[in-house]
Amino acid sequence: MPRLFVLDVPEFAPLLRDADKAYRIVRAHGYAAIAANDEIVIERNASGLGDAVWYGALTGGYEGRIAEFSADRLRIAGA
Amino acid sequence: MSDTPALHGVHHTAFPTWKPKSTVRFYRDILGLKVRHAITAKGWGQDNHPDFLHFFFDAGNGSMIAFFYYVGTEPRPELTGPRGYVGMARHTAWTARTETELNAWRARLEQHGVAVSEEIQHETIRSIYFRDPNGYPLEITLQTRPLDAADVRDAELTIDAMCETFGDHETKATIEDMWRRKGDKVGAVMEGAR
Repeated sequence: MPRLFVLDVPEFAPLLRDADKAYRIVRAHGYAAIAANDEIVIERNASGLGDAVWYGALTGGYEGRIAEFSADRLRIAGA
Repeated sequence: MSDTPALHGVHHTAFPTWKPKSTVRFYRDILGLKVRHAITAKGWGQDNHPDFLHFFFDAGNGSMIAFFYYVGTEPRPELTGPRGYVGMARHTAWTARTETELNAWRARLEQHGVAVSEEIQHETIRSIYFRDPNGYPLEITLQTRPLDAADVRDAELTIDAMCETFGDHETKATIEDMWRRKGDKVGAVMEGAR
């Protein structure tokens, strides 16, 4: 089960808002964890992130493996 | 055991130049920084120490940017004109306090023919980039939100993960290795274990 950890701060709020539509999000101690049964897919356009923040979107760390991380899409699959 | 001594911000940073006239024109006349101090010296006694001038401009808030001009020496382009992202890593970033100020800097630089980058929104700062006549990369940046305790703790976790993953340049390690290790640490924080 992949998890993506995101620091719960304003610059990542658009990503979390978008992820909230499709995934379970747990918030605790200043972080948000996005969890999926099979894959987490974040679309760049829908996430509303600019270049610098998009390419830094994994700074909070993750569990699983990166199946895709392009200019348009981030996919994290189970390990 | 004595307390750790404190630092109080940048007094000055210093760079070599082989274009003293263009440097003065850029920093004093285009950026409008006031000249604060200038030193001239007949070497420093040793044969291999060239005669030099050392001059300082006011960069605000008590800090200065300074240059050395070593008379009669060969220019060292590898020092003054870093290229590419890795070369640009060593740069100077000054603070703008408002969006209006950041915009005014762009306008002023462009009026004087300085090529200015697109504005880049980073995580917590927004920046413009340009170069001085020596080729030194410069940045003017606006902090778009204050850093708080959560940012600090997150940075500490990242730095711990970095040191554990890369040591001092473990070339087989990847950023994915580091992100997974960071994920373990953040997972522990979220469970209240750290």
